[in-house]
Amino acid sequence: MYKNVIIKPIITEKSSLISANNKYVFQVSTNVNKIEIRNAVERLFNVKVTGVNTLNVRGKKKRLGRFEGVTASWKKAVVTLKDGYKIENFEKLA
Amino acid sequence: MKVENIKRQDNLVTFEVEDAYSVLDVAIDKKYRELSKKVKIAGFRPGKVPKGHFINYYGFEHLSYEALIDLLNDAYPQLVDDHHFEVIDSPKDIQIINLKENEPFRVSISVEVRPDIKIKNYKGLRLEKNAVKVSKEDVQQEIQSFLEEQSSFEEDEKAAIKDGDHVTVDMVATIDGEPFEHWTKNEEEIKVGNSVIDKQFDEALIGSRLGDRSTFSVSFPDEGTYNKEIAGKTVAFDVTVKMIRVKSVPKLETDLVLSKTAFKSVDEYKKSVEEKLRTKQETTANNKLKEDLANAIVDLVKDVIPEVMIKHEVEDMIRHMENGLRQYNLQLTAYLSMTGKTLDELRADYHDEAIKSVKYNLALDAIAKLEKMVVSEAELQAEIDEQLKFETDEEKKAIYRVRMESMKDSIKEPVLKRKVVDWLLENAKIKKK
Repeated sequence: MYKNVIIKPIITEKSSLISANNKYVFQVSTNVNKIEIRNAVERLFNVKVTGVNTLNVRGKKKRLGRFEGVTASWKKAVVTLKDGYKIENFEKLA
Repeated sequence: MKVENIKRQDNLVTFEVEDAYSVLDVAIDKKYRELSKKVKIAGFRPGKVPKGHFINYYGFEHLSYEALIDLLNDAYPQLVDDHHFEVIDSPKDIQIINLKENEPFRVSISVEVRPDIKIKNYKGLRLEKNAVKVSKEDVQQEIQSFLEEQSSFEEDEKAAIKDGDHVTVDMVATIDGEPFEHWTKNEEEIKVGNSVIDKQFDEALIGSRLGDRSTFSVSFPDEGTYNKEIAGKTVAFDVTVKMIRVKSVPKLETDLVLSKTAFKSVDEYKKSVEEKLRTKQETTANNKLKEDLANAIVDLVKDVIPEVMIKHEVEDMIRHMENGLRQYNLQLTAYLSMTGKTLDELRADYHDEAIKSVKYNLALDAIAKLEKMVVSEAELQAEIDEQLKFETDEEKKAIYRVRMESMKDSIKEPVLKRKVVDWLLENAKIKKK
Protein backbone atom coordinates (compact mmCIF):
# COMPACT_ATOMS: atom_id res chain seq x y z
CA MET A 1 0.00 0.00 0.00
CA TYR A 2 2.78 2.47 0.90
CA LYS A 3 4.54 1.49 -2.23
CA ASN A 4 1.74 3.07 -4.22
CA VAL A 5 2.45 6.35 -2.46
CA ILE A 6 6.16 6.55 -2.98
CA ILE A 7 7.25 5.72 -6.53
CA LYS A 8 11.03 6.15 -6.47
CA PRO A 9 13.79 8.22 -4.90
CA ILE A 10 15.13 11.12 -6.95
CA ILE A 11 18.89 11.05 -7.06
CA THR A 12 20.44 14.11 -8.62
CA GLU A 13 23.16 16.57 -7.83
CA LYS A 14 20.73 18.75 -5.96
CA SER A 15 19.16 15.92 -4.01
CA SER A 16 22.59 14.64 -2.93
CA LEU A 17 23.43 18.15 -1.84
CA ILE A 18 20.44 18.57 0.45
CA SER A 19 20.75 15.04 1.83
CA ALA A 20 23.42 16.61 4.04
CA ASN A 21 20.54 18.45 5.77
CA ASN A 22 18.73 15.17 6.29
CA LYS A 23 16.33 15.83 3.44
CA TYR A 24 15.37 13.15 0.96
CA VAL A 25 13.62 13.62 -2.36
CA PHE A 26 11.05 11.22 -3.80
CA GLN A 27 8.73 10.98 -6.73
CA VAL A 28 5.30 10.34 -5.26
CA SER A 29 1.89 9.55 -6.61
CA THR A 30 0.12 12.71 -7.85
CA ASN A 31 -3.00 12.20 -5.74
CA VAL A 32 -1.43 11.80 -2.32
CA ASN A 33 -1.14 14.48 0.34
CA LYS A 34 1.69 15.36 2.72
CA ILE A 35 0.25 13.33 5.57
CA GLU A 36 0.09 10.20 3.47
CA ILE A 37 3.68 10.76 2.33
CA ARG A 38 4.83 11.21 5.95
CA ASN A 39 3.14 8.02 6.99
CA ALA A 40 4.51 6.09 4.06
CA VAL A 41 8.13 7.22 4.64
CA GLU A 42 7.92 6.56 8.39
CA ARG A 43 6.62 3.03 7.86
CA LEU A 44 8.78 2.08 4.89
CA PHE A 45 12.11 3.27 6.26
CA ASN A 46 11.41 3.14 9.95
CA VAL A 47 12.26 6.81 10.58
CA LYS A 48 10.69 9.94 12.09
CA VAL A 49 9.63 12.70 9.67
CA THR A 50 9.56 16.36 10.74
CA GLY A 51 8.40 17.92 7.49
CA VAL A 52 7.19 17.27 3.98
CA ASN A 53 7.30 19.76 1.12
CA THR A 54 5.67 18.89 -2.15
CA LEU A 55 5.50 20.35 -5.61
CA ASN A 56 3.94 19.35 -8.89
CA VAL A 57 6.31 19.00 -11.80
CA ARG A 58 4.48 19.81 -14.99
CA GLY A 59 5.08 17.61 -18.01
CA LYS A 60 7.17 19.08 -20.79
CA LYS A 61 5.83 19.72 -24.27
CA LYS A 62 7.49 17.35 -26.72
CA ARG A 63 7.14 17.26 -30.45
CA LEU A 64 7.82 14.47 -32.87
CA GLY A 65 7.44 15.92 -36.31
CA ARG A 66 3.97 17.28 -36.60
CA PHE A 67 2.67 15.47 -33.55
CA GLU A 68 2.75 17.43 -30.36
CA GLY A 69 2.44 15.82 -26.95
CA VAL A 70 3.38 16.23 -23.33
CA THR A 71 5.36 14.07 -20.95
CA ALA A 72 3.54 13.04 -17.82
CA SER A 73 3.25 15.45 -14.92
CA TRP A 74 4.37 14.13 -11.54
CA LYS A 75 4.65 15.08 -7.94
CA LYS A 76 7.92 15.61 -6.09
CA ALA A 77 8.21 15.42 -2.31
CA VAL A 78 11.12 16.65 -0.16
CA VAL A 79 10.97 14.82 3.15
CA THR A 80 12.88 16.15 6.18
CA LEU A 81 13.81 13.60 8.81
CA LYS A 82 14.18 14.15 12.52
CA ASP A 83 17.82 14.58 13.63
CA GLY A 84 19.46 11.24 14.28
CA TYR A 85 17.48 9.33 11.67
CA LYS A 86 18.60 8.51 8.20
CA ILE A 87 17.59 6.34 5.26
CA GLU A 88 20.24 3.66 4.72
CA ASN A 89 21.38 3.01 1.16
CA PHE A 90 19.15 5.71 -0.24
CA GLU A 91 21.16 5.72 -3.45
CA LYS A 92 20.72 2.02 -3.97
CA LEU A 93 16.96 2.29 -3.98
CA ALA A 94 16.83 3.81 -7.44
CA MET B 1 53.32 -4.60 -1.08
CA LYS B 2 54.07 -8.03 0.20
CA VAL B 3 55.25 -10.65 -2.26
CA GLU B 4 54.74 -14.26 -1.27
CA ASN B 5 54.69 -17.79 -2.63
CA ILE B 6 57.22 -17.25 -5.36
CA LYS B 7 57.25 -20.32 -7.57
CA ARG B 8 59.27 -20.93 -10.65
CA GLN B 9 58.49 -23.45 -13.32
CA ASP B 10 60.93 -23.38 -16.22
CA ASN B 11 60.86 -19.76 -17.27
CA LEU B 12 57.52 -18.90 -15.72
CA VAL B 13 57.55 -17.22 -12.32
CA THR B 14 54.34 -17.03 -10.34
CA PHE B 15 54.00 -14.91 -7.20
CA GLU B 16 51.29 -13.53 -4.99
CA VAL B 17 50.96 -9.90 -4.03
CA GLU B 18 49.11 -8.74 -0.92
CA ASP B 19 48.43 -5.38 0.65
CA ALA B 20 46.02 -3.63 3.00
CA TYR B 21 42.63 -2.35 1.82
CA SER B 22 43.60 1.22 2.64
CA VAL B 23 46.11 1.15 -0.21
CA LEU B 24 43.45 -0.05 -2.60
CA ASP B 25 40.99 2.50 -1.27
CA VAL B 26 43.28 5.33 -2.26
CA ALA B 27 43.53 3.87 -5.74
CA ILE B 28 39.75 3.45 -5.93
CA ASP B 29 39.32 7.06 -4.93
CA LYS B 30 41.70 8.16 -7.64
CA LYS B 31 39.97 6.01 -10.22
CA TYR B 32 36.54 7.32 -9.16
CA ARG B 33 37.73 10.89 -9.60
CA GLU B 34 39.11 10.04 -13.01
CA LEU B 35 36.09 8.10 -14.25
CA SER B 36 33.37 10.30 -12.79
CA LYS B 37 34.44 13.00 -15.21
CA LYS B 38 33.92 10.71 -18.17
CA VAL B 39 30.86 8.70 -17.21
CA LYS B 40 27.50 10.35 -17.87
CA ILE B 41 25.02 9.69 -15.07
CA ALA B 42 21.46 11.07 -15.29
CA GLY B 43 20.86 13.90 -12.80
CA PHE B 44 24.53 14.85 -12.44
CA ARG B 45 26.94 17.01 -14.35
CA PRO B 46 30.17 15.16 -15.22
CA GLY B 47 32.47 14.95 -12.22
CA LYS B 48 29.76 15.98 -9.76
CA VAL B 49 28.40 12.57 -8.82
CA PRO B 50 29.03 11.53 -5.20
CA LYS B 51 31.35 8.57 -4.69
CA GLY B 52 28.72 6.35 -3.07
CA HIS B 53 26.31 6.83 -5.93
CA PHE B 54 29.05 6.37 -8.48
CA ILE B 55 30.16 3.06 -6.96
CA ASN B 56 26.54 1.99 -6.88
CA TYR B 57 26.15 2.85 -10.52
CA TYR B 58 29.50 1.56 -11.81
CA GLY B 59 29.77 -1.51 -9.62
CA PHE B 60 32.29 -1.99 -6.84
CA GLU B 61 33.91 -5.02 -8.47
CA HIS B 62 34.38 -3.23 -11.71
CA LEU B 63 35.82 -0.10 -10.14
CA SER B 64 38.05 -1.91 -7.68
CA TYR B 65 39.42 -4.11 -10.47
CA GLU B 66 40.35 -1.11 -12.55
CA ALA B 67 41.88 0.58 -9.53
CA LEU B 68 43.85 -2.56 -8.76
CA ILE B 69 45.26 -2.74 -12.29
CA ASP B 70 46.37 0.89 -11.98
CA LEU B 71 47.92 0.15 -8.63
CA LEU B 72 49.81 -2.86 -9.97
CA ASN B 73 50.95 -0.94 -13.02
CA ASP B 74 52.56 1.63 -10.77
CA ALA B 75 54.05 -0.82 -8.31
CA TYR B 76 55.08 -3.57 -10.72
CA PRO B 77 58.43 -2.22 -11.94
CA GLN B 78 59.59 -1.71 -8.35
CA LEU B 79 58.34 -5.16 -7.36
CA VAL B 80 60.22 -6.80 -10.19
CA ASP B 81 63.34 -4.86 -9.34
CA ASP B 82 63.19 -5.64 -5.64
CA HIS B 83 62.89 -9.35 -6.20
CA HIS B 84 65.38 -9.51 -9.09
CA PHE B 85 63.00 -11.08 -11.54
CA GLU B 86 64.56 -10.70 -14.95
CA VAL B 87 61.27 -10.38 -16.76
CA ILE B 88 61.23 -10.59 -20.52
CA ASP B 89 57.58 -9.91 -21.20
CA SER B 90 54.55 -8.24 -19.76
CA PRO B 91 52.75 -10.41 -17.16
CA LYS B 92 51.07 -13.41 -18.73
CA ASP B 93 48.33 -13.93 -16.24
CA ILE B 94 46.86 -11.91 -13.38
CA GLN B 95 44.49 -13.79 -11.12
CA ILE B 96 42.51 -12.19 -8.36
CA ILE B 97 42.47 -14.21 -5.18
CA ASN B 98 40.73 -11.71 -2.97
CA LEU B 99 39.23 -8.35 -3.83
CA LYS B 100 36.53 -7.35 -1.38
CA GLU B 101 35.59 -4.17 0.40
CA ASN B 102 37.52 -3.63 3.64
CA GLU B 103 39.64 -6.74 3.22
CA PRO B 104 43.32 -6.95 2.22
CA PHE B 105 43.49 -7.66 -1.47
CA ARG B 106 45.53 -10.51 -2.92
CA VAL B 107 46.55 -11.16 -6.52
CA SER B 108 48.59 -13.83 -8.21
CA ILE B 109 50.80 -12.76 -11.11
CA SER B 110 52.71 -14.97 -13.50
CA VAL B 111 55.35 -13.67 -15.81
CA GLU B 112 58.03 -15.07 -18.08
CA VAL B 113 61.61 -14.50 -16.98
CA ARG B 114 64.98 -14.83 -18.62
CA PRO B 115 65.98 -18.46 -18.80
CA ASP B 116 68.92 -19.80 -16.82
CA ILE B 117 71.29 -21.06 -19.43
CA LYS B 118 73.33 -24.12 -18.60
CA ILE B 119 76.60 -23.89 -20.37
CA LYS B 120 79.84 -25.82 -20.03
CA ASN B 121 82.98 -26.71 -21.97
CA TYR B 122 83.33 -23.13 -23.05
CA LYS B 123 86.93 -23.02 -21.94
CA GLY B 124 89.49 -24.11 -24.51
CA LEU B 125 87.32 -23.87 -27.59
CA ARG B 126 89.09 -25.01 -30.72
CA LEU B 127 89.19 -22.22 -33.26
CA GLU B 128 91.13 -21.41 -36.40
CA LYS B 129 92.52 -18.05 -37.37
CA ASN B 130 93.50 -17.02 -40.85
CA ALA B 131 97.16 -16.05 -41.07
CA VAL B 132 97.92 -12.52 -42.16
CA LYS B 133 99.98 -12.51 -45.34
CA VAL B 134 100.51 -9.50 -47.56
CA SER B 135 102.17 -10.46 -50.84
CA LYS B 136 104.04 -8.15 -53.22
CA GLU B 137 101.25 -8.62 -55.78
CA ASP B 138 98.67 -7.36 -53.30
CA VAL B 139 100.71 -4.22 -52.73
CA GLN B 140 101.25 -3.75 -56.46
CA GLN B 141 97.52 -4.13 -57.11
CA GLU B 142 96.67 -1.59 -54.45
CA ILE B 143 99.16 0.88 -55.89
CA GLN B 144 97.86 0.27 -59.43
CA SER B 145 94.30 1.11 -58.41
CA PHE B 146 95.59 4.28 -56.76
CA LEU B 147 97.36 5.21 -59.99
CA GLU B 148 94.24 4.49 -62.04
CA GLU B 149 92.39 6.97 -59.89
CA GLN B 150 95.03 9.60 -60.70
CA SER B 151 94.88 8.97 -64.47
CA SER B 152 94.22 11.91 -66.77
CA PHE B 153 92.45 12.13 -70.13
CA GLU B 154 93.89 14.02 -73.05
CA GLU B 155 92.37 14.67 -76.40
CA ASP B 156 94.14 12.75 -79.18
CA GLU B 157 93.10 13.14 -82.80
CA LYS B 158 95.04 10.20 -84.16
CA ALA B 159 94.57 7.49 -81.56
CA ALA B 160 92.40 4.40 -81.94
CA ILE B 161 89.87 3.86 -79.15
CA LYS B 162 90.97 1.46 -76.46
CA ASP B 163 89.60 0.25 -73.18
CA GLY B 164 89.38 2.98 -70.53
CA ASP B 165 89.25 5.93 -72.94
CA HIS B 166 86.59 8.59 -72.83
CA VAL B 167 84.91 9.21 -76.19
CA THR B 168 82.27 11.63 -77.38
CA VAL B 169 79.90 10.27 -80.01
CA ASP B 170 76.73 11.06 -81.94
CA MET B 171 74.51 8.01 -81.84
CA VAL B 172 71.24 6.88 -83.40
CA ALA B 173 69.50 3.81 -82.03
CA THR B 174 66.64 1.92 -83.69
CA ILE B 175 64.63 -1.12 -82.66
CA ASP B 176 63.11 -3.05 -85.60
CA GLY B 177 63.45 0.08 -87.76
CA GLU B 178 61.67 2.29 -85.20
CA PRO B 179 63.82 5.06 -83.67
CA PHE B 180 64.64 4.51 -80.02
CA GLU B 181 64.75 7.93 -78.36
CA HIS B 182 66.47 6.86 -75.18
CA TRP B 183 69.77 6.15 -76.93
CA THR B 184 69.53 8.60 -79.80
CA LYS B 185 71.82 11.40 -78.65
CA ASN B 186 74.32 13.95 -79.88
CA GLU B 187 77.64 14.65 -78.15
CA GLU B 188 77.21 11.79 -75.75
CA GLU B 189 80.23 11.04 -73.61
CA ILE B 190 80.97 7.39 -73.09
CA LYS B 191 83.52 5.78 -70.83
CA VAL B 192 84.68 2.79 -72.82
CA GLY B 193 84.85 -0.36 -70.68
CA ASN B 194 82.21 0.76 -68.15
CA SER B 195 79.51 -1.14 -70.08
CA VAL B 196 76.96 1.58 -69.44
CA ILE B 197 74.91 0.55 -72.49
CA ASP B 198 76.27 -2.92 -72.91
CA LYS B 199 79.60 -4.73 -73.08
CA GLN B 200 79.00 -5.46 -76.79
CA PHE B 201 78.56 -1.76 -77.46
CA ASP B 202 81.89 -0.87 -75.87
CA GLU B 203 83.65 -3.69 -77.72
CA ALA B 204 82.26 -2.47 -81.05
CA LEU B 205 83.78 0.96 -80.44
CA ILE B 206 87.27 -0.28 -79.65
CA GLY B 207 89.63 0.32 -82.55
CA SER B 208 87.61 3.14 -84.15
CA ARG B 209 89.27 6.46 -84.88
CA LEU B 210 88.15 10.07 -84.91
CA GLY B 211 85.38 10.64 -87.49
CA ASP B 212 84.72 6.92 -87.98
CA ARG B 213 81.12 5.93 -88.42
CA SER B 214 80.15 2.40 -87.47
CA THR B 215 76.87 0.55 -87.57
CA PHE B 216 76.30 -2.55 -85.48
CA SER B 217 73.55 -4.13 -83.45
CA VAL B 218 73.36 -5.34 -79.88
CA SER B 219 70.98 -8.09 -78.69
CA PHE B 220 69.67 -7.83 -75.14
CA PRO B 221 68.59 -10.83 -73.08
CA ASP B 222 64.95 -11.38 -72.08
CA GLU B 223 65.72 -10.72 -68.47
CA GLY B 224 68.10 -8.64 -66.42
CA THR B 225 67.97 -5.41 -68.42
CA TYR B 226 67.31 -2.31 -66.36
CA ASN B 227 65.13 -0.88 -69.13
CA LYS B 228 62.07 -3.02 -69.87
CA GLU B 229 61.70 -1.59 -73.43
CA ILE B 230 64.85 -3.33 -74.67
CA ALA B 231 64.35 -6.72 -73.00
CA GLY B 232 64.71 -9.46 -75.61
CA LYS B 233 65.18 -6.93 -78.43
CA THR B 234 67.98 -6.26 -80.87
CA VAL B 235 68.97 -2.61 -80.98
CA ALA B 236 70.72 -1.28 -84.09
CA PHE B 237 73.25 1.52 -83.49
CA ASP B 238 74.73 4.06 -85.86
CA VAL B 239 77.63 5.72 -84.07
CA THR B 240 79.93 8.53 -85.24
CA VAL B 241 83.03 9.26 -83.17
CA LYS B 242 83.43 12.99 -82.51
CA MET B 243 86.23 13.13 -79.99
CA ILE B 244 88.60 10.74 -78.30
CA ARG B 245 90.25 11.44 -74.97
CA VAL B 246 92.98 8.95 -74.27
CA LYS B 247 93.51 7.72 -70.77
CA SER B 248 97.03 7.99 -69.42
CA VAL B 249 97.97 6.40 -66.14
CA PRO B 250 100.79 8.20 -64.33
CA LYS B 251 103.86 6.34 -63.07
CA LEU B 252 104.61 6.02 -59.39
CA GLU B 253 107.16 8.77 -58.90
CA THR B 254 108.26 10.95 -56.05
CA ASP B 255 106.46 13.99 -57.47
CA LEU B 256 103.16 12.16 -57.57
CA VAL B 257 103.60 10.80 -54.08
CA LEU B 258 104.45 14.26 -52.78
CA SER B 259 101.47 15.95 -54.40
CA LYS B 260 98.77 13.34 -53.88
CA THR B 261 99.67 11.62 -50.61
CA ALA B 262 100.97 12.58 -47.20
CA PHE B 263 104.20 10.65 -47.70
CA LYS B 264 107.65 11.92 -48.52
CA SER B 265 109.02 9.15 -50.73
CA VAL B 266 107.90 6.27 -52.92
CA ASP B 267 109.30 3.73 -50.46
CA GLU B 268 107.51 5.29 -47.58
CA TYR B 269 104.25 5.19 -49.52
CA LYS B 270 104.78 1.54 -50.46
CA LYS B 271 105.43 0.67 -46.86
CA SER B 272 102.25 2.41 -45.75
CA VAL B 273 100.22 0.54 -48.36
CA GLU B 274 101.62 -2.72 -47.07
CA GLU B 275 100.83 -1.70 -43.52
CA LYS B 276 97.29 -0.70 -44.48
CA LEU B 277 96.68 -4.05 -46.17
CA ARG B 278 98.10 -5.85 -43.17
CA THR B 279 95.78 -4.14 -40.67
CA LYS B 280 92.88 -4.74 -43.03
CA GLN B 281 93.64 -8.43 -43.19
CA GLU B 282 94.23 -8.55 -39.46
CA THR B 283 90.80 -7.02 -38.81
CA THR B 284 89.13 -9.40 -41.23
CA ALA B 285 90.87 -12.35 -39.59
CA ASN B 286 89.85 -11.14 -36.13
CA ASN B 287 86.28 -10.59 -37.16
CA LYS B 288 86.16 -14.04 -38.68
CA LEU B 289 87.61 -15.47 -35.49
CA LYS B 290 85.00 -13.70 -33.37
CA GLU B 291 82.26 -14.90 -35.66
CA ASP B 292 83.54 -18.48 -35.37
CA LEU B 293 83.67 -18.06 -31.60
CA ALA B 294 80.09 -16.82 -31.57
CA ASN B 295 78.96 -19.82 -33.60
CA ALA B 296 80.84 -22.19 -31.31
CA ILE B 297 79.26 -20.59 -28.24
CA VAL B 298 75.78 -20.70 -29.73
CA ASP B 299 76.27 -24.40 -30.44
CA LEU B 300 76.96 -24.97 -26.75
CA VAL B 301 73.54 -23.63 -25.74
CA LYS B 302 71.06 -26.46 -25.70
CA ASP B 303 68.30 -24.80 -23.70
CA VAL B 304 65.00 -23.86 -25.26
CA ILE B 305 64.70 -20.14 -25.77
CA PRO B 306 61.34 -18.54 -24.92
CA GLU B 307 59.47 -17.46 -28.02
CA VAL B 308 58.96 -13.95 -26.60
CA MET B 309 62.67 -13.29 -26.48
CA ILE B 310 63.04 -14.31 -30.09
CA LYS B 311 60.11 -12.13 -31.03
CA HIS B 312 61.60 -9.14 -29.26
CA GLU B 313 64.95 -9.74 -30.89
CA VAL B 314 63.34 -9.92 -34.33
CA GLU B 315 61.55 -6.65 -33.66
CA ASP B 316 64.85 -5.13 -32.52
CA MET B 317 66.51 -6.26 -35.72
CA ILE B 318 63.75 -4.84 -37.87
CA ARG B 319 63.88 -1.57 -35.97
CA HIS B 320 67.63 -1.50 -36.49
CA MET B 321 67.13 -2.09 -40.18
CA GLU B 322 64.49 0.61 -40.34
CA ASN B 323 66.98 3.07 -38.85
CA GLY B 324 69.52 1.99 -41.42
CA LEU B 325 67.04 2.50 -44.22
CA ARG B 326 66.15 5.93 -42.92
CA GLN B 327 69.71 7.04 -43.63
CA TYR B 328 68.96 6.37 -47.29
CA ASN B 329 65.65 8.23 -46.93
CA LEU B 330 63.76 5.00 -47.29
CA GLN B 331 60.71 3.90 -45.33
CA LEU B 332 60.32 0.30 -44.29
CA THR B 333 57.07 0.00 -46.23
CA ALA B 334 58.79 1.29 -49.36
CA TYR B 335 61.60 -1.19 -48.88
CA LEU B 336 59.13 -4.03 -48.45
CA SER B 337 57.28 -3.17 -51.63
CA MET B 338 60.62 -2.93 -53.44
CA THR B 339 61.68 -6.38 -52.34
CA GLY B 340 58.17 -7.75 -52.70
CA LYS B 341 58.11 -9.09 -49.17
CA THR B 342 55.55 -8.76 -46.43
CA LEU B 343 56.52 -7.77 -42.92
CA ASP B 344 55.78 -11.28 -41.72
CA GLU B 345 58.09 -12.76 -44.31
CA LEU B 346 60.82 -10.39 -43.18
CA ARG B 347 60.22 -11.51 -39.60
CA ALA B 348 60.50 -15.13 -40.70
CA ASP B 349 63.78 -14.34 -42.44
CA TYR B 350 65.23 -12.89 -39.26
CA HIS B 351 63.93 -15.67 -37.05
CA ASP B 352 66.98 -17.97 -37.15
CA GLU B 353 69.41 -15.13 -36.81
CA ALA B 354 67.43 -13.85 -33.84
CA ILE B 355 67.62 -17.23 -32.09
CA LYS B 356 71.36 -17.20 -32.59
CA SER B 357 71.73 -13.70 -31.26
CA VAL B 358 69.57 -14.40 -28.21
CA LYS B 359 71.48 -17.60 -27.45
CA TYR B 360 74.79 -15.81 -27.85
CA ASN B 361 73.86 -13.01 -25.49
CA LEU B 362 72.42 -15.38 -22.91
CA ALA B 363 75.52 -17.56 -23.12
CA LEU B 364 77.86 -14.61 -22.62
CA ASP B 365 75.85 -13.54 -19.58
CA ALA B 366 75.91 -17.05 -18.19
CA ILE B 367 79.67 -17.32 -18.67
CA ALA B 368 80.21 -13.94 -17.05
CA LYS B 369 78.23 -15.16 -14.07
CA LEU B 370 80.04 -18.51 -13.89
CA GLU B 371 83.44 -16.88 -14.14
CA LYS B 372 82.38 -14.10 -11.77
CA MET B 373 83.33 -11.38 -14.20
CA VAL B 374 82.17 -7.84 -13.47
CA VAL B 375 82.81 -4.46 -14.95
CA SER B 376 84.77 -2.33 -12.52
CA GLU B 377 84.17 1.37 -12.03
CA ALA B 378 87.51 2.12 -13.71
CA GLU B 379 86.58 0.09 -16.76
CA LEU B 380 83.26 1.85 -16.95
CA GLN B 381 84.94 5.24 -16.78
CA ALA B 382 87.39 4.17 -19.46
CA GLU B 383 84.47 3.21 -21.70
CA ILE B 384 82.77 6.54 -21.14
CA ASP B 385 86.02 8.34 -21.93
CA GLU B 386 86.36 6.28 -25.07
CA GLN B 387 82.87 7.17 -26.23
CA LEU B 388 83.41 10.86 -25.53
CA LYS B 389 86.78 10.89 -27.24
CA PHE B 390 85.57 12.72 -30.33
CA GLU B 391 83.52 15.32 -28.52
CA THR B 392 85.60 18.49 -28.46
CA ASP B 393 83.14 20.85 -26.84
CA GLU B 394 83.92 20.68 -23.12
CA GLU B 395 80.46 21.82 -22.09
CA LYS B 396 78.69 19.16 -24.14
CA LYS B 397 81.18 16.61 -22.91
CA ALA B 398 80.21 17.32 -19.33
CA ILE B 399 76.51 17.02 -20.16
CA TYR B 400 77.01 13.71 -21.97
CA ARG B 401 79.09 12.44 -19.09
CA VAL B 402 76.35 13.10 -16.58
CA ARG B 403 73.80 11.50 -18.89
CA MET B 404 75.98 8.44 -19.32
CA GLU B 405 76.57 8.14 -15.60
CA SER B 406 72.84 7.83 -15.18
CA MET B 407 72.60 4.88 -17.55
CA LYS B 408 75.59 2.99 -16.28
CA ASP B 409 73.90 -0.37 -16.60
CA SER B 410 73.28 -0.11 -20.29
CA ILE B 411 76.89 0.94 -20.83
CA LYS B 412 78.22 -1.83 -18.66
CA GLU B 413 76.49 -4.51 -20.69
CA PRO B 414 78.50 -4.25 -23.91
CA VAL B 415 81.71 -3.75 -21.92
CA LEU B 416 81.06 -6.93 -19.99
CA LYS B 417 80.31 -8.81 -23.20
CA ARG B 418 83.52 -7.62 -24.75
CA LYS B 419 85.37 -8.71 -21.66
CA VAL B 420 83.84 -12.18 -21.84
CA VAL B 421 84.68 -12.50 -25.53
CA ASP B 422 88.28 -11.47 -24.86
CA TRP B 423 88.48 -13.95 -22.02
CA LEU B 424 87.08 -16.72 -24.20
CA LEU B 425 89.61 -15.95 -26.91
CA GLU B 426 92.45 -15.95 -24.40
CA ASN B 427 91.36 -19.34 -23.17
CA ALA B 428 90.62 -20.81 -26.59
CA LYS B 429 92.99 -23.06 -28.49
CA ILE B 430 93.57 -21.05 -31.61
CA LYS B 431 95.28 -22.71 -34.52
CA LYS B 432 96.80 -20.56 -37.24
CA LYS B 433 95.82 -21.51 -40.73
